Parts: sequence; structure tokens; C-alpha cells
Amino acid sequence: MSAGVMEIQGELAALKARLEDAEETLEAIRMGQVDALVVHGPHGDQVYTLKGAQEPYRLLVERMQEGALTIAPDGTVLYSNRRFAELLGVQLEALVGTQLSVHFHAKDKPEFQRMLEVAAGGPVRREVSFVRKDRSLFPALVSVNALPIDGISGLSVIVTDITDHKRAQEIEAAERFTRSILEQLTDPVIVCDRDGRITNLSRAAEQLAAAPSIGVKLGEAFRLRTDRADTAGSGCSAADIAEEIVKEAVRGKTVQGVEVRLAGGTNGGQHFLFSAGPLLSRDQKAIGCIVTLTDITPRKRFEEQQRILLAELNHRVKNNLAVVYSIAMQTLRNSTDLASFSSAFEGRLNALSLAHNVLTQSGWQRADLKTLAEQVLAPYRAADDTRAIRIDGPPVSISPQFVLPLSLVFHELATNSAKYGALSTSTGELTVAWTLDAGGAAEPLLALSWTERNGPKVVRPERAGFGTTLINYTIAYELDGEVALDYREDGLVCALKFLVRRADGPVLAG
Amino acid sequence: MQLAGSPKGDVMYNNSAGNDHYNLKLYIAGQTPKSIAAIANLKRLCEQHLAGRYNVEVVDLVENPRLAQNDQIVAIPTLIRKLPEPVRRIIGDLSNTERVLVGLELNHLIDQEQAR
Repeated sequence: MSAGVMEIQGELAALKARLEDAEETLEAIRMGQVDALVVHGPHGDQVYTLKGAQEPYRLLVERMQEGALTIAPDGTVLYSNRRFAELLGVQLEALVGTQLSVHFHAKDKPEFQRMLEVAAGGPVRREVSFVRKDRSLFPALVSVNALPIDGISGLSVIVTDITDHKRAQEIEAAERFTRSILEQLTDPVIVCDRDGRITNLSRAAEQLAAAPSIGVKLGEAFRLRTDRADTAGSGCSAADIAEEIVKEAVRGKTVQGVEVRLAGGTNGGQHFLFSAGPLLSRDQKAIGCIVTLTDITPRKRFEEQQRILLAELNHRVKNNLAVVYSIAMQTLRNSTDLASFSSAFEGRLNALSLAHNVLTQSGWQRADLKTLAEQVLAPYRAADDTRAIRIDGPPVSISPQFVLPLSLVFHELATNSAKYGALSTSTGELTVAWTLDAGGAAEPLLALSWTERNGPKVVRPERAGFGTTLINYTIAYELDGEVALDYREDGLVCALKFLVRRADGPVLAG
Repeated sequence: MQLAGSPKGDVMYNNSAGNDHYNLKLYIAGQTPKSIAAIANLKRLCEQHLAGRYNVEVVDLVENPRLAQNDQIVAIPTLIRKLPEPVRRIIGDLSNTERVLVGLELNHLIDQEQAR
């Protein structure tokens, strides 16, 4: 084959290939396989996209969750995506051609005007409020940017609804607020979810719980017991009460003031009023409950004390009536006439009354021995106190049941002395002194001496009067002690000894 | 054109070289639907049939229309097979796999593709 033929064949093959390419190009255009063409123009090659080529951009803008607009420099809406119309609650068609500023809240309109002025120089972004068609407001972040379109100056506006963001901020702030309240509360407060699991608790509650308790069931974190009648005093279990109360609260009921006590742990034995109410969500649904434990331990202690005191009072009143009856009978038996009966009986009743005064002053708790002696002996002190009555001894507090007998003993000794002893003259002296033999014993011995001196010469009475009988009886039976009367010539000496019982007898002061 | 996974510029895939190595060039026009479809179809085909022996350069003519002259591009998208020679061109979004395999002279793979 000649070179010429080969050259022609080569050119033919090349032409054939170019023809195939051209045919394929045409076929592809005809079949819609391409959507852009390169066109050679006076300014070089240019790409022309065919119909539908802009679809992805259009969809991107139409489907985005932000409002997207193109506006003229004076704020006229040239284009808006559907989303922005939805945000405002208006028809899209009604939006184009209007002033965008009319949809701003009045306070933000001047700011928007300023944004339009400066946007040509670069993007600006502000937080503003828009007014919906129904006059409600929504907060939004608006960003404005220059957007040159074919030489026409325009502005692009992106509107982001930040209602959720704002709400989240509010919730966070509310959470912080709640947390700070919980931390400041002195009462234990516990927040539970619907299942009774602890989600939050005050510092006081944290200290009360046996262990870290977030996520733990209320009944497990706090070992509560109740002594309700329906549980026959055996103490309903912690989990039961907690579960029951949480269920009630989550159902929307407010449970008030169930008395419980804490079992075990360092805070064991503390008494609380257990109250619970529903924790409501924004739509008023109970999403958990709030439990308050009010410490009523001091109140319970006070109630117990009051109960004991009432029983004590009842007992004392009966005893006192018996004592008064006995005194009346004995005084009557030892009186020669009505006048002497009246005087002796009045004195003894007075001693009882003084003893009661001392008890009242101490709130029926304890009475101070020295105060008691001072009170009983006060009538025998002269106004100018020329007669020396000395009362001396360490502080001793005496329980109520010892106060009356002791005051009667002091009264009898004083009456006797005023009639026949040291207190019957201006020179006589009386010393009431006591010592307490503590010595580490559980029941220290109190030794009290009543010593008279410088009075008239003492003569032992021929028969024991009621006074002496009362002293002997009282010390022996009521105080379970010993008494010794020594009728010395220069004055009577009476020595009393009785054991101080810490629990229910006289106890050391302080 | 910058694409995810491509460390530099226009090279989309570059999986080694060899005697039967395929050197391909895809001309697109921004994000037109056919351009996006062509990229996706080409990637799938290459991974299925030419794994480890191809590289693809994507040329966006919207960014630089003058590059159309190099391969006398008229319609977009267009795929050019530079290597192995001879140069072949396939026009369209490469959705017709059979046609693309013929165009790339990978006819023997058609049955395999149809079996899928």
C-alpha cells in the first residue's frame, strides 16, 4: 500500500472518530444527558447551564431551616424562601414587594435601618424580634450581606429563629436558679423523677442521705420509718412509704405532713414531717415530685417532755392533796385551840406554796437547793438583817419530787427555831450548809447540816411534836435518807443525809 | 475543584499506576444535577471495576471555562479517557453503566455488571 493511501486511510479514521464524537455529543444533548454547554464567544469560552441546572441551589435555599431573602438596598423584599413566610405566618406571595422592616418589632426597626446602611461594607449580624401575623413575637438572629446580582446591588438576608435557643437559655438559667435555691435551703428537699429516682437534692438532704444518692430510689437513699396506726407500730419500711408517697405525688396529689423517722446512720432517730407534691412540666403534667423533710425532732422532744410533765403534775397534785390532808389532820391533833391550828396550818401551807414557786421558776425541771432554802427562810430574816442566817454549799439542782419534802423540812425546822430556838432571839444565828460527796460515784451523798447557835438554852422536848415527826418521816421515806436531831444546849443541830440520784433524784447543777 | 478526600486540587482518586492504568478526566459545570450525578456514577464504577488502577481529575469549567479548549469540550458533563490510549470521550451523566463500560473499552465487564 502506498504512503498516500495510508495517509488518506489515517485521516479517514480520524475523521470517523471525530464524527462519532460529534454524533455522541448531539445524541447526549438530545437525550438530556447533559445540562451545560461550553460556548465560544467574543470573550472566550463560557459555560451556559441549561434549564434545571440551578435546581440544587434553589432546593438548598427553599429547604433550609433558615429564612433566606434577597432585598433591595432600601429594604424591599425581592425574593423570600418559603421558610421565612412560614416563620412569619404569612403567604409567600404577600411578602415579595413589601418592606422587610414592617415585620420587625418596633424597637428593632431603627437597628435594621442601620444594618442596611452598613451591610455594603461587610456582613452584619444582630439579634432582633420579628412580629408574626398573629402579633406574637419570635427572637431571631438576622445576618445581612452584600449580594451583587448582574451589576444590581442587593442584599442577602438570613433569618435564624432562635426561640429554641432562647428557651434553652431560659431553662439553663432556671436550672441554675433552682440549684442555688436548693443549695441555700436549710430543710432537706429532694427532687425525684416519675420512678421515684432522685434527680436533685438540697445540700441539707445530701448530708442526711447515707451515700451519694443521685439516680437512687428515694426509699433506698433515705431509710425512713413511720409509726402509722395501720402498720401496727412495727414501722412501715422505708421503700414502701417513699414509693407510696411518690406515686401519690406523681399522680398530682399533694401529700402533707406524714411523720417519719430516720433509721440508722449518724442522723438516725431524727423525726421529720414528710411532704411531697408533683413536679409539673410546662404543660402542667407531673414529671416527678418534690419531697420536703421538715425536721421536727425538737418538737417531738418537747412533746415527750410535756407528756412526762403532765403525768408528773397529775401525780404531784394528788400527792399534794394527800400531804395537805395529812398536815391538816396532824396539825389539828397537836393544836390546843383554833388560833394555834390556824397559825401552824397557814405556815405549813405557805411552805408548800413557796416550794411550788421555786419549781415554777425553774419550769418544773430542777430547783436550786440554795434558792429553795433562801425562799423558805426569807420570812425569818429581819428587814435590817441583824439576825445572821447563812446559807452555804455547792450548787445542787434538785428534781421536782424532792423539792416539796425538802421545803417542808426547812419550814418545820424554821418554825421550830422561831418558836423555841435561835430565830426566836435577836442574837441567835443559823447556818444551813451542805457538802456533796461526789467522789466519782453514780449516786453522790448530800450531807446537809442545820446548825443553830446563840439562841435560848435548848431543852429536849418531852414528846415529839408533829414537826419532828414530819421531818423524820419525810427524810426517811420521801428522800430515802437519814436524819439526826441533836438538841445541844447552845442550839439545835439537825444533820440530813441522802443520796443524790442522777436520773430522778437531785443532780449536780450544770 | 476541591473534593472531599482529595488531598490536593483536582485529583479525586489516585490509586497507583501500571500498564493497564486508567487516567480519566471528568469535566463538570459547578453543581448542576448532571455534574453531581456524573461524579457519583464515576466513583462507583471505578471502585467496582478499576479499584487500585485509576486516577480521576475533575475539572470544573464554571470556575475556569478556558480549560474546555484542552479537550474541545462542548457538552457537560464529559468524561475523557486519557489512558490507556486511544483517547475516548463519554458524554452525559454516566448513569448508563453499559454505555460507559463500552466507552471505556471494558466490554468484558458488562456481563458481570448485569449479574449484579
